[in-house]
Amino acid sequence: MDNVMCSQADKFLGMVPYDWTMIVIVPVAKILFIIAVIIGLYTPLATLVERKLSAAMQDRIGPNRAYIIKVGGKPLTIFGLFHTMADALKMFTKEWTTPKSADKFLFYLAPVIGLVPALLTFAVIPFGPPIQVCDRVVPLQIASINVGVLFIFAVGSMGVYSAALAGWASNNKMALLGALRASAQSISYEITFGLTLVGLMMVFHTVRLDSMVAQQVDLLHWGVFLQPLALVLFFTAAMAENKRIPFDLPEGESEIVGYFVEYSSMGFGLFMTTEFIEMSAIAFLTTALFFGGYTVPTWVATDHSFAMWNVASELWPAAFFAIQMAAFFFKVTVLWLFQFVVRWALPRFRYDQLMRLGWRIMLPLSLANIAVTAIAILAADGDAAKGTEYVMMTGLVMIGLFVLSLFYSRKPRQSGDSGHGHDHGHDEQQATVAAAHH
Amino acid sequence: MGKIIKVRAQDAEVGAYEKAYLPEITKGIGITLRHVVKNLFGGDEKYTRTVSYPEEKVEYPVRFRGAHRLTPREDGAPRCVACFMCSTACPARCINIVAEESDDPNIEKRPKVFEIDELKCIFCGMCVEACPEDAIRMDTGEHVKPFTNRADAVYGKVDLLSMLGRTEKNGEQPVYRGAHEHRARQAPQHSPEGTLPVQDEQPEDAH
Amino acid sequence: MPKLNIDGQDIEVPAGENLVLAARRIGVEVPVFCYHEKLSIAANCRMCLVEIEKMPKLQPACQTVATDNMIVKTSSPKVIEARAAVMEFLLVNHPLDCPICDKAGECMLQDNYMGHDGKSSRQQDTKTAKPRLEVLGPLVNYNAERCIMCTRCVRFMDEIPKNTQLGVFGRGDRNVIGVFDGKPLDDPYSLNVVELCPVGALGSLDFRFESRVWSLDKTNSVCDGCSKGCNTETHSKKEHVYRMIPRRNDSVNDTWMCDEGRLSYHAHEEQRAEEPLTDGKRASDATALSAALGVLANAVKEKGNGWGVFISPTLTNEGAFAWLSYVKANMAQAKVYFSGRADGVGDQLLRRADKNPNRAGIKAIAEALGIPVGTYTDGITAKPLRVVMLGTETPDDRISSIVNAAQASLVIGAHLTQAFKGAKVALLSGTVFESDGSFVNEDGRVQRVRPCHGVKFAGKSYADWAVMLSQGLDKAVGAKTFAWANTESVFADLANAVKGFSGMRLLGLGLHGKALGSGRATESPSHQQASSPVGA
Ligand code: SF4
Ligand code: SF4
Ligand code: SF4
Ligand code: SF4
Ligand code: FES
Repeated sequence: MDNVMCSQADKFLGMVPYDWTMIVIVPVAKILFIIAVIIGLYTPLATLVERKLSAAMQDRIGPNRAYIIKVGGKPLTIFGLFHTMADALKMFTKEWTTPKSADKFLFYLAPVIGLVPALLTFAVIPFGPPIQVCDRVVPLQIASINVGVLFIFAVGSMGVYSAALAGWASNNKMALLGALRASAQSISYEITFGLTLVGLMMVFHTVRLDSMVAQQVDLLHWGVFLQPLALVLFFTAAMAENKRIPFDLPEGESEIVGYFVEYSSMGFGLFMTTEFIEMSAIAFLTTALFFGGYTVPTWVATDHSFAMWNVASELWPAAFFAIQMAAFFFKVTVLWLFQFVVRWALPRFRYDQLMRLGWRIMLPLSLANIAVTAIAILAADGDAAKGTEYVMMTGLVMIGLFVLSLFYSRKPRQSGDSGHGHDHGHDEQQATVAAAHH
Repeated sequence: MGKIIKVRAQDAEVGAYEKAYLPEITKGIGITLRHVVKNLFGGDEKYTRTVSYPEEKVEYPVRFRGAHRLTPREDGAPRCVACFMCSTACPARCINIVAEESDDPNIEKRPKVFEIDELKCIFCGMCVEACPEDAIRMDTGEHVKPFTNRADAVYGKVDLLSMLGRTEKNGEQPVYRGAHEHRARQAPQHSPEGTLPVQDEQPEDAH
Repeated sequence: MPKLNIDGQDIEVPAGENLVLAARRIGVEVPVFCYHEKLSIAANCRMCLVEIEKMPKLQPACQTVATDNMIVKTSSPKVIEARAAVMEFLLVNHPLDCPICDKAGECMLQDNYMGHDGKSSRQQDTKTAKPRLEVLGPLVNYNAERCIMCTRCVRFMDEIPKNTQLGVFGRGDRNVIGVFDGKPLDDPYSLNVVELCPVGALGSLDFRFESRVWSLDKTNSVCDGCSKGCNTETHSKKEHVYRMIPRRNDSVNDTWMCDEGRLSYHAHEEQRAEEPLTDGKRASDATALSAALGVLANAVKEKGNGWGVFISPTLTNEGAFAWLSYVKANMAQAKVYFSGRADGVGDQLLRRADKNPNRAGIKAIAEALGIPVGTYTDGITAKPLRVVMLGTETPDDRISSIVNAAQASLVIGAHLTQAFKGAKVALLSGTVFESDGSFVNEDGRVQRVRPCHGVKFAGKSYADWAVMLSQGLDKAVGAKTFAWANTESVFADLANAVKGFSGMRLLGLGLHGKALGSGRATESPSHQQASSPVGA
């Protein structure tokens, strides 16, 4: 920023106490920015992407009809963009019904309880590099608090109340059962969700998200390479928390009656919105934790192979800042889209499978991950750089072993009658096709 | 006894590889993504099969069971003889028939009322199967038209007769096969009430 | 008592019994067409052929009397072949009419084809054409093509009403059943030939094309057309009765029924009262009705004062017992008179001049309760100022002016007559098709009537006895209240109070009823067929 503007700004800002600027104006601006991005961009887009992407996956066309104006006699549809508006309008204008026997207060409260923690998650995620405004360094993170990740756990676990309250307040046994499923599922996966990050905290020696991101400037120091297993577990657990397919047993839109069955209109809309916001939250969080946040990969910075970036960052900070922001949102968007792909490609689990996956596979794996990480760090004997290397190596070895073991244990696909070790009488059914007589 | 076809109950044995879920799922996602890419950017090679109805329409397969119709005799009257076979066979109990005496002594019975409640109908085709006269068919290839009133979903005799089958639409002569096609001759005239039937009259084509 | 062996089983049968009945005793059904238990034996269809040892040829079971040491085979290969051959002959000229034939579904030709033939037709030539719609009389039509010439119909007319109106005309494949010149089939029993006809050749013009037989609900009941009380099967669908056919009861009507009775269901469907009336106006408003009932109850409480109770002998025993008990308890001074249908034509066979189904029962009940019952004319001449009419059926309309002029009046019935409209309070009860209860026929046989499934009001408390309780008429007066839960409990009280009924239970009446005074007697003889109007 050039000095004239700075001094003008200082003059203006000088009228308000310093604390006010940093405590009120800047955070409010950041909050508005995040809200604008999440509520204004990602969430509405999510409804469209959900429908368009699923259409593409299922060889359909998807929504393409809504329009407001006609251009040259043809309706201007822009790939069905207006469906987003139509969806929102529909949500707002539909009749809101409340069951007679519902607990009114909790019934109205439940969707809000879901929405608020989802939004709060964004408070601690750094979405860009700290910027220098005149003489002030402004971190692009709404609240750079010490507890960082723990805050996310704390807030995230509030979400289960939304489902539980919605189910209970509806005074509908189906809704209540759905709420029970939701609670059981959330609690099961929250454990893994938390434990997977312990490894990360050990590696980065911090629970602050901004310093975690700052440590990932080096590509090889990205969480995904240090804690590959944790990434898989974390992402899975996060999606399970969000209760979308393949984990949508608490409420399966058209097939499974669930905890928000009694909600209509915007009440229902809020649950859906929450779901979409949580998707963004997962993408934000995963980017910050495992994919270097806003950092642009600079190969090992010291050996100048990507020195260009450093030069650029010094010569043209504004452009570098823009690139970093773009990188962040690019990563976020990819992860965000990935969740759609998963949701539309995977079949739903059975509830017992869901529980088994949570308790018998993911939980032990996350514990093992902590143990192995801890051993690697201990082996490095206090040398931080060495520790990171060890962790990285163990991670790669684990992945490699896992993949190898899979391929080794792979059974050849059987064709025809050439199966072995099985009693054919059990495996085969005989179908009689009566020849058509005339 | 017909030919025996062996069907494998289980496709393949499931090993740890399959059980590990992730590799197979990745494969699945891969396939899905291929579709996405082709469908979004594939140009002519799209997998997409849907069309923009109503601007574009797909032709229904020949076995499509659409709205019912009553087939006509040559004079346009329904072939139906009001035998109630269809309403007896109908699992949805949606055919309502009231029979009456026909003017033609060779037909004897005809429907006074013939209604199908298309709202209740499950389009199973049992009625078509049951009809001994080939009088009801589901070969119109048409949907039941949209309606805003329940009563409009009840198709009466006139509605059902007014629809054409695919054959007629293609300009071909339909072939009907029914029990009354077996009646290759006319019955003697009614005799007046309480009198003897005319005994000496020899039907022309009787052997 | 000849002893013989049928299909390897030794049995002893009464002398003179034929092989069809003898075989039935061991559960073997010999297929028949022309044989009918209540008619003479013609043995012209040959469907019943069986093999008898030492006989060179197959013998018709219907005509062969069981004799000692006979060894009969009813399903030897020879017999089976012969039956199939007979079926094929019968079907050679039979039209493919089942879709439009009213008999389909209860046709012996269909049944026997399915049971004993089952082959496709080998007939290549054109079938013989015969008249298809011959109107034989006011109620019966004839389709010569379907006729199998079993002569059941001819034999019936000759033997039962003894009115030879039908005959066989023509020869060979051109023979037909017909009536004689200028003499239509107008016997009062003419419709019996329709059930008798094993195929769809004779049809009822009343039932023609009305419904397929398999879609009708069948209820075992009793005809209320006259005091004979013929046993019936009522065929109904949804709200309507479609026909009544006789049900075999050898103590009452054998397997017959008169045309008048068969058609009596029409009258019951006409002029139905749909809702209670007060002063001829709809009383859908419950308060208006209860106010009117309150006035009525007050009038009842002032004892004495010229009450006249007209009881129709169309009421069930239960209705009569309930109301007469009420009269006895609350209106001791009241005079009771009979109303009911006017007398009509009677004959020696079934029809009785008294067209009311339950006069005998009501007489017995009134007697047991010590209530003298006067005649209708007595009642009209007495001109009571307060009237209760139980049942809307009356011999003539003189009663309506009495009801109109009455200070207090209560009419209970099913039909919207002048009296019903003129009453201060008019309440609904059901017709015989909606009633559950019993009638006593003129020979003193207590027989059960049952409500048809689905017919209007069926299942609701419109039984004639229940009207009193449902409107709280007994409670309003207070002298004596009743607490019946269902028809059985009314009947139980009735059986305790009335001597002839003692020892009977409503559910114990069975299909054939019980004679008055025969309580706890054994059920009707078991060889009677439960319900087989065709009486094969
Ligand atoms: S298609 Fe099936 S349900 Fe519809 S009318 Fe025919 S038999 Fe009934
Ligand atoms: S089955 Fe055929 S002939 Fe019989 S009533 Fe139905 S449409 Fe008419
Ligand atoms: S008489 Fe019997 S077999 Fe003949 S057309 Fe009628 S139902 Fe069919
Ligand atoms: S009309 Fe019927 S009962 Fe009479 S001869 Fe013919 S088939 Fe027999
Ligand atoms: S010959 Fe015996 S039943 Fe006809």
